[in-house]
Amino acid sequence: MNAKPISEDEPVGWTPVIAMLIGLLLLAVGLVLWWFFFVRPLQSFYQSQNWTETDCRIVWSEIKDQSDSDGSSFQAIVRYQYTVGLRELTGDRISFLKATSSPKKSEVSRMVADYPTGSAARCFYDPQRPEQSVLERSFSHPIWFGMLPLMLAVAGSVFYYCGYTAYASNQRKQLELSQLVQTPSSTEQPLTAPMSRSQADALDRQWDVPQKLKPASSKWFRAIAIGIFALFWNGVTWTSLFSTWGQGSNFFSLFITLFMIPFMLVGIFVVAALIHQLLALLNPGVEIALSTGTAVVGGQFDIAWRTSVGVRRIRRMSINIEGTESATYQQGTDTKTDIQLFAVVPVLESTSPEQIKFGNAQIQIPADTMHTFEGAHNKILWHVRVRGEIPCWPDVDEQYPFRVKPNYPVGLDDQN
Amino acid sequence: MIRINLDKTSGNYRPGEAIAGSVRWVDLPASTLRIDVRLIWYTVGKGSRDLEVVVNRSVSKPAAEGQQAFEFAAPARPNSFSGTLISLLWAIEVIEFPDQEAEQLEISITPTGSEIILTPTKDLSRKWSLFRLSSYR
Repeated sequence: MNAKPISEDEPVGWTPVIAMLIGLLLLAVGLVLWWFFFVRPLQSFYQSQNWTETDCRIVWSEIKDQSDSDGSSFQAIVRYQYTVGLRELTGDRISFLKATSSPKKSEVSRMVADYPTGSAARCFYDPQRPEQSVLERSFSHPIWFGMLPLMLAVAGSVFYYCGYTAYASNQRKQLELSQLVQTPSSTEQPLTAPMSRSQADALDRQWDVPQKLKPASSKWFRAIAIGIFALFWNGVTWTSLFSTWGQGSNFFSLFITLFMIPFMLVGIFVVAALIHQLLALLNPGVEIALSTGTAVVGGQFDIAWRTSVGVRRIRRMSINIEGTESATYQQGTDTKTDIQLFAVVPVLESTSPEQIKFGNAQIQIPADTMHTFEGAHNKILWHVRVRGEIPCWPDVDEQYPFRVKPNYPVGLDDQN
Repeated sequence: MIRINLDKTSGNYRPGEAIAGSVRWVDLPASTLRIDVRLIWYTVGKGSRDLEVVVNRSVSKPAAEGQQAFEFAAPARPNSFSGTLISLLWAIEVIEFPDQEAEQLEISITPTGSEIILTPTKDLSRKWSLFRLSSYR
């Protein structure tokens, strides 16, 4: 006995459960912080739009120094009195959306300077609960910082999902393994097993009909996904910058601006990608149909193509059948996927509008190649790749997946 | 000590063909609960490992010394292959429990009887880039 078992890979153990718990914790903390720093202030801000405006008098205005071992911070304290009916009430809320404390004294100084002790001001109170009041009810951009805890919640969801997937997969493996066990009544009887069938066989049968292929990813989906990312990324980046610039020019704002330059460049790149993708939405569409969605290694099948309106915009088109290896692996905390092309079967390479518009061909998959294989991390995938060159415009570049099944020995194929 | 012997010395099988052989063991610890004889495939290469136990047969409470024959039909898929990023291997694996000492014997399952080799191919078309705007000449 000289080896570690391969099929008894390291037990997943507690890791997925811990990942799920950490995920839930991050999700809960993220949502609670988001509630307190974004939802609740925003809710109060909107409610205050219907509050009653009245005169008030500033009775106390100061900057409170809150120095401790973690450093210094300053808080603006403003108290004001207002009258509702016969009741004289006191309030101390400056705004629902502005932070009243900051590590920078200049920020809170401005706030306090607006409300000197003894001055008259206008304030707003809730007619239902007059003790609830505020001095300012205008919209303030720093509220968007309250969205940042959502990133914590998203990270928590990803942790939970990964943990759950690993846990479920482990449970499934254990169950499958227990179903494969057979114990002989004595060692004189041989251990036997009939030929097993995999889920891939069922998928092959399902695909084994003439069909129009669907692109691997929708152009609309890509545009929407890039659009959402661009909006989120640029929203956070530019809001932070505008907020910093709004505080005047000083060393801190210069430092933040320099620090944010790489983030701004990524934001500009993403917007450019979005524009590229939006232009690509106007590209001519190419339909691909096969005589079977499950080709056989070494076997022949028919392929037909049709290009919709705007054919003449495409100056050159190529259609290839491609086989690729795809390997997904962990590198540090990143999950990466490498792709390697191993087979290219040319179908069309043409500049003729007639051939680009419509055509068909008979194609053979090489006899010495690999069938479709879809492991959790490793894959052998086959697709029809269509490329069309459009001058001064994003190219047509689509992949249409199909399946390739093994060339079973005679008699074996009938059993599938 | 565990030894796996195959009736067919080449170790190359076609789908449906019988993978027959025997497992022989000597000096098993008295604590041994069972010996599992498995037909497995697994990947090696750049990607994280994928594996599947296709057949698992057990010998319960084996004597310290003994022998067990097995005969499994070679599955139709996945075929053994060797590529640039990934290779897929089949093996007969024998594991002694609870110590999890193991012995493996690699085999190949393909319709031709020999491993499929995937050679890298260059993408002859110009590489797609995010912002490329064609200027046709």
